[in-house]
Amino acid sequence: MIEAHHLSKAYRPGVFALRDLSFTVEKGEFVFLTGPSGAGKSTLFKLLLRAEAPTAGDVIVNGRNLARLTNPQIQAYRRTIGFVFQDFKLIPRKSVFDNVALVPRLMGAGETQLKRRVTQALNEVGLTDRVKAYPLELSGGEQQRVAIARALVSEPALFLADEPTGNLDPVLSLEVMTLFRSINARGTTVLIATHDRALIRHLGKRVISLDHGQMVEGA
Amino acid sequence: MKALLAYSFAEALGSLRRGWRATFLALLTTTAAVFVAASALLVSINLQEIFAKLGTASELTVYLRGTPTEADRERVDALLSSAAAVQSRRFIPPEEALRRFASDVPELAALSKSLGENPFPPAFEVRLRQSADAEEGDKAARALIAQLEATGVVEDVRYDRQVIDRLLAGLTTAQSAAGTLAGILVLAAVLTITSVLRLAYQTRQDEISILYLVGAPPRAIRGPFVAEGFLQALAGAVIALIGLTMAFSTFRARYGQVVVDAFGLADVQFLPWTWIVLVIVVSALLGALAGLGAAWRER
Repeated sequence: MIEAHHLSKAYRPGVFALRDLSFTVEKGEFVFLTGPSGAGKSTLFKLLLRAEAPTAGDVIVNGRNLARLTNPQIQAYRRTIGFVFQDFKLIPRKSVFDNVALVPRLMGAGETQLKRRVTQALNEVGLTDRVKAYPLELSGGEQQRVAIARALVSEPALFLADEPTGNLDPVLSLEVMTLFRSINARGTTVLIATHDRALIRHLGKRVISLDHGQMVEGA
Repeated sequence: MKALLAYSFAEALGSLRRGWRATFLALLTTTAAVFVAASALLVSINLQEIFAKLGTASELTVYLRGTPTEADRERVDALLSSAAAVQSRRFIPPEEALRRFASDVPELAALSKSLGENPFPPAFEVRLRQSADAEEGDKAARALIAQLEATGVVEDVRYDRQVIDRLLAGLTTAQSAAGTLAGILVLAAVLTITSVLRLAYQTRQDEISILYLVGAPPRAIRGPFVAEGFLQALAGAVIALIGLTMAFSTFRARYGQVVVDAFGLADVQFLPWTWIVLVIVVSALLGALAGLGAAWRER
């Protein structure tokens, strides 16, 4: 599902955020990406989201070399993956329903289909009763679940989450991780960046560990 | 496409409501620009009518030498009556010319009386036939003048073509100036809409970043701004045209007859429907273009 070959990213000449990184994530796998702050986790996620291009090497997702995508192809690629951000990235002036419905609506889904898909996604994250609420009326955990529902609504084959529990308390963090496990259980590949070692131990999944932009564990 | 349009217009209406102060400013500028541009168009359409009239109409005044005999006068009259270019002619004896002068310029009436004798020569006022081709008409008039001067009875011929040409040149310059002013104002309106929408784009930067990150296609990100520019310009054009209709009605009621009489028009006319539709469509498209310009950013 994901192949990184000698992947490097330097924001300034000689200063590497990632250096010669190679790994593979198989289809249907659940993998944690971990490491201290500045290890390169967020940079790797930016490359996987194609918000940045690599300085050297290749990153191939589902057979597509991300460095070679054109702008419209990048947008089309992003619609095929589910991405959850640490700061949720919800649109405050839109209701829960409209936030989750955003991409399918833009892609021309009919209202009936839209309602079915959004309800299904919100049902998975346990938020069907907050469909009309606005993000600022929700708790941090609820906002995170809305973001997860938004990522799930397009039924992605790959699910990426960058520090999804960074703003949550331990109980909510565990709830969110349980949700990710159930997403993975239906065949979706899941890659989660976190530095929460306790959670990683609790779930007992494969770990890729980074430090100073290089892999130290899990290739 | 339908979904994109529905989304874009719904977002645009929401944005117009949220940023009503900036919207009002842009609307005011657009209305003013379209009003001036449509006014220039309206004046231009009526000027075309006047140009068409003036372009073909002209007169000659044929002054006879000294005190012509009856035979001399009849020779000139015969020449004029046989000329194809002449539509009508009228002999003006010196007494009538003096009477007209006293009536037209009353402040100099006493001066003409103090001269003792009538200074005005006998003359023919000749109305030339209107010609579809102004150049052909001008040629025929000049040929007739040459024939009249060759009779030896004619002292001078005043041909008003040059006056009309100068008037036409003046009107053309005024028309061009109005067109240029309208163009500048339309450009200013487009830039105002672009600036207002650019500002809206900047304030929604976070939201736009989210849209890009979740894979919204660029047309879905630009669409609401294009729709917003379209709606602003459309509203501005409609308001401007309503204002122009009211201003035109007032003008026609007060001065319409004066203009009709002065230029021999059938009536002063408002913009035809095709032009009204064209003004609205072009304005809305320029607004949409301004919106596209405001939201155009390669990522």
